[in-house]
Amino acid sequence: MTTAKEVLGLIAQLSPEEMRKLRQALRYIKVEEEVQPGDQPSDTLAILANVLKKAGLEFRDLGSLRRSQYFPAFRDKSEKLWEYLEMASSDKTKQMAILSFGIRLLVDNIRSMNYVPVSAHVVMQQIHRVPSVLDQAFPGYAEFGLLGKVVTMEEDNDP
Amino acid sequence: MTPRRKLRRPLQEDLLTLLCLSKEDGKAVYHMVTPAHFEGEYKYIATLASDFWKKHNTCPGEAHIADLMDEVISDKNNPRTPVLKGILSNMFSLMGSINTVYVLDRVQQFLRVQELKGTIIKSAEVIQLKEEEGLREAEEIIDKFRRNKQADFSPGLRFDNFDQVLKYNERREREFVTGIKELDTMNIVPARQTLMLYLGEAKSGKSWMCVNLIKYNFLQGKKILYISNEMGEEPILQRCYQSIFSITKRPVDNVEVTRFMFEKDPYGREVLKGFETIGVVPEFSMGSRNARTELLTRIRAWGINAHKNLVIKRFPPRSLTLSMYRNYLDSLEDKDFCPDLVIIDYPAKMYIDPRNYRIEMGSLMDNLRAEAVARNHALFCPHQATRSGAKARTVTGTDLSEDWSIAGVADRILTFSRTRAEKQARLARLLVDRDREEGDGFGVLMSQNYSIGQYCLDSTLLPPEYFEKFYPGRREDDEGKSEADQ
Repeated sequence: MTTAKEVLGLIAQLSPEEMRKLRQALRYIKVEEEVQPGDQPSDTLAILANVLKKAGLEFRDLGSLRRSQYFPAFRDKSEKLWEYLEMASSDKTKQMAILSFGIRLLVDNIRSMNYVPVSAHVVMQQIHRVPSVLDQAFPGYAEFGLLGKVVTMEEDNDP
Repeated sequence: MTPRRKLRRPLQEDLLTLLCLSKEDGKAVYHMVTPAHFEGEYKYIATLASDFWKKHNTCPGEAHIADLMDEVISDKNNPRTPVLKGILSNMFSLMGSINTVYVLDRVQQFLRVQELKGTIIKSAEVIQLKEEEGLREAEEIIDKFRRNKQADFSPGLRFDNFDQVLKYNERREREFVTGIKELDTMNIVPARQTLMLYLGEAKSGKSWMCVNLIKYNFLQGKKILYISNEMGEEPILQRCYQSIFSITKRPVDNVEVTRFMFEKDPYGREVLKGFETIGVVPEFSMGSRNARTELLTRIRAWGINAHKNLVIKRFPPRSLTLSMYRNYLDSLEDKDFCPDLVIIDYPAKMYIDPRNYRIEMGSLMDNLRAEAVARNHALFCPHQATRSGAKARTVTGTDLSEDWSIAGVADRILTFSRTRAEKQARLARLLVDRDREEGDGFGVLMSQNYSIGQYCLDSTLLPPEYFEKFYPGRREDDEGKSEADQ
């Protein structure tokens, strides 16, 4: 069995390509450590993946999305996004419903920009726009506690 | 030139008395008649009195009337002296016993006859000179004559006429409804002699709002005239049936509608709990085989004068002129149909001089409102929002297309807003942008379903801050205005 000491000793012998792969692997390990299932970025990512899957746009698993180079920025944006969701509703289930609905609207919005293909990475990059597209669709509803009610109805109607 | 015939002598005497000796009614006489309407010495005295009115804005009165004629009556050898003295003596004895209303009414009749004669001559001259080409000009001359009949010389309200004010309030609050609970409660409804403007983007259901007004006010027994410059008469009537009977245009198994769920808060007030989608099955549709029987049964069952209280009239777009509109109203009046509520859908599609479109548009709205005042009916007009208003998520009173001065003419403005997502959720918002008499600056959220003709199924007030969100600074402006007023 190769010890950690031996592994570290081998680093100096790695080619530039092997070094790049190692750096990437280390980043994935870091992300896996930082993001635990059940926290806000993970919930956001899970909902995002679910929406894209339902829309038939992308079928990547959560792990691969987490390892994406866009994930660190996505994680920061997600935290801010949840502040908005907490303002829109105090109920966690409704918050998740609003998020799911918001991501659907975001996907539609990205689709309407004909020159941008919809992919998980694009949606991850644009995730901060969820409050904006929600407010565009239902102006002022979030501020006045109506958004959760509308979204609950929409989700109920969703087959 | 209008030919002038002299007034009858007793009438001349009465008028002269009022002109010379009455502070209250002399002014009306001064504005209605000229010295040319009098003859002989009456004309001389009327000229002196009119000059006095012009200079001092009051009547000469007993104190000065003799002074004005001093030059003549002080000369004992002047043959006019006894005549003038006689007239003066008569005037003093008449004063106090004249039925002013009757006299002024007679004068109005006299002037009207003179004016009619002039109108007939003028229009005949135009037709003789220009034949068919002069038709519009001749119509305008006749129309001007008809318009002038509204001249009103009643003295107006006095401070102690509170009964009239109370009656006005009572009538205004009960007379018309919109069918939207919150608006009806706050009295944001059409009212006689006022213009209610409804602003919405293209294809947002402006005509449905009109149909909604027909539905609720027609069911209250109001006489309604719907003038359409866009849709045909049959589709509008069909919409009325759809709205009144909650039916679809074509047969369907199920229609999804959004309903509001309410609950009571600790203070017993109803608050919005949430929304739900429910399915409804229309009893029949306009496309059903039995549609005729179903409609007949229902209309008969009402037992109201269904055929009498609603008139729907279509004019081709850009063809209805103001004078045609007036003539049409006159022709309806001749047939004993004086509408309580007139809906014009919509004025921008009436004939407007393209060379001066914007100014003409504002002037047209002003004239339509003036007609509502003169004929004592309520006027409701939808109007299209500008392109920026259509793009905006919320239409406001500043999104009026063509002429912004229309906002100043309207007594109350409602704006309709609905985003695509709201449309899918069958929701919409109405903002009360302006109301001259009642409170404005609030909004209503409502559910609707046009497929069964329902403009408003459920509604609830939007929080007061909602309005502020779309009109930042508006309330501060109003506060500043009221401070200035104080």
